[in-house]
Amino acid sequence: MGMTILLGLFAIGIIIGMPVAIALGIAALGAFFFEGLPTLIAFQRIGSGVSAFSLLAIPFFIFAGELMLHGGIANRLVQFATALVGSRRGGLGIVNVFSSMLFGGISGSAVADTSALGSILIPVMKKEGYRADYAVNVTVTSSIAGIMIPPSHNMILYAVAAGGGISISKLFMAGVVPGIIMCVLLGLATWLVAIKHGYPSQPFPGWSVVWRTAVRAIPGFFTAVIIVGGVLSGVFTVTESGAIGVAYALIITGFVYRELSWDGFIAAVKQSAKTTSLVMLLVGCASAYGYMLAFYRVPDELAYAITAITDNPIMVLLMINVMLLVAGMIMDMAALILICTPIFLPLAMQFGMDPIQFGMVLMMNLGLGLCTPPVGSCLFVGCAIGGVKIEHAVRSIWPFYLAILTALILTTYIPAISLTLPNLVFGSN
Amino acid sequence: MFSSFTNLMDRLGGGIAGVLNLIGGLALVALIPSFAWLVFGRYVLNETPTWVEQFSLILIVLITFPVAAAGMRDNSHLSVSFFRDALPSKIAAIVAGISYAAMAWFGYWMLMGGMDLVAFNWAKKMPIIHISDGWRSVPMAVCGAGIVFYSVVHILKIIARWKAISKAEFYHDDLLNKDAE
Repeated sequence: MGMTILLGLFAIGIIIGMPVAIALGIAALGAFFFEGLPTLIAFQRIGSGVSAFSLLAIPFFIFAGELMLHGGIANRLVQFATALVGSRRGGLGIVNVFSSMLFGGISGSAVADTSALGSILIPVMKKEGYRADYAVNVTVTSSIAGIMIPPSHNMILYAVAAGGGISISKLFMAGVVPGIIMCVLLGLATWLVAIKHGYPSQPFPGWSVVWRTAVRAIPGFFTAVIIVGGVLSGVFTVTESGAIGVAYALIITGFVYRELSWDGFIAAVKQSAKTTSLVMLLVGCASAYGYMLAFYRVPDELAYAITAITDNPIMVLLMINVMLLVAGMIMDMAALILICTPIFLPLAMQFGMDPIQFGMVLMMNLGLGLCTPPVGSCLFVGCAIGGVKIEHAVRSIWPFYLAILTALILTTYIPAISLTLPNLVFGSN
Repeated sequence: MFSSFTNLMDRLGGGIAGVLNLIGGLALVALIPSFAWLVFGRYVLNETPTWVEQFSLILIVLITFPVAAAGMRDNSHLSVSFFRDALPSKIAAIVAGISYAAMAWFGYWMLMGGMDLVAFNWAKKMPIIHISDGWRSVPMAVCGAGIVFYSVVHILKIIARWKAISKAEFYHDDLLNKDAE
């Protein structure tokens, strides 16, 4: 009965449109009341969930992303990508994917990626004769690179949700190969669709232009190098790297590029504080909810239910993927990382999946959810920028979904894709 | 009369949200020099300023809870609204009202829980910075109060704008921002 209250109140809260964090809090509180546990524990869990030192990197990553959004870094990366790969057929589509790899790697946020690159590239693509839905679809789906390619604050959330025993450095490294594979497959889909529609190619501007645009983009790109390099080398902690990344982004956008205005800075602070508070409240409430999930042994119950259906690891991992995909379609990423990790990670590990590999599978599944209706923040942002109706964009998005699903299947069933790089860099233990 | 009262509460809520967002924004900005000093102290002065860790944990609750409360005003929290959006306007507004009532209930318990934690931890001192540990929970109590306040204001707005909601085909938050009849 208690478990029904916990899961049922959460489901009802979501259905009636309650904020996910508060729905988690209400469900946890309902279960606390039902079990006669002191409610003070629930709020202690919320408070301690928020004030965890390991989570301090999150506001820094979010803030760095916002500064880049307002400070001209995206624009320079697009210029560089256009010079380098814009001369292929459907070149601007490939530029879009390549820019996402570069910018997503810096900002670590898919929505920031869609918003920053979409506002630059979608209008240009439309002007050059690309269909608006194509421009939106490429922008939206390639933005998942921001989640996979380090640094990514979602990976920190995952590490925390997994109980804090997973190295964030390893997670950062693990995202590189799946992220690149996904982008290559998306690039391929982009190119094939471009050929089908006969989209134009740009003339190659020459290596001197490539070089010039690269030089202009490098200071911005260096933000990611500082953050990731600092963490991987062990020189800085994740939080320190994030703080240094913010300070560096401030210097670059404010004093080198001189594109960060005072208004832009204030907007970045406001948006970062808002996003941070939403994520951290989620973390706090998910901590109380997770306490009750563990109390009712929900992960064990789920494992029991699934193994009653099949004990074939391939099928179990497929079922986990389907459940994550469906969940990703109806709920936002941060919330699902916090809710799904304690439920599905033990099950995946029971079937031999490494927690780092599971992290990559989770990121890709939930990232795809950002691009799917009915709840897909990236899809919404992309459609708003492109002036395309969601149903119209979704009608032609299938080749791109297929590319991501292929990358997802490869990442799920070939552990080496996620684990080789972190094992090479840090050793297998 | 009722509409004027609702509008007054809404305006008051806007002012409070501005203050809460300001607190969160300042706390976020304060995090940067704190960590810059931490890194400088650790790698240049070879003397880690240990107060930064405790101080930054206070800053993070100052970002999270006040801004989360302010987010209740403009409905900026992550939520899934498509089930509700598919309902006819009047039914969706009633569902939204129920949802706000439940949130007010949670806010009340968060306010009480936050105050209990303040009282429970007041005598304890935070290590290194030696201020009462109770301060850490004050923002949570403020957030609880904010959730109650904004939820009640939303319910009042639904009641005050009922005519406009009845005429609309689908319920939308914008309906609550129109002037009441």
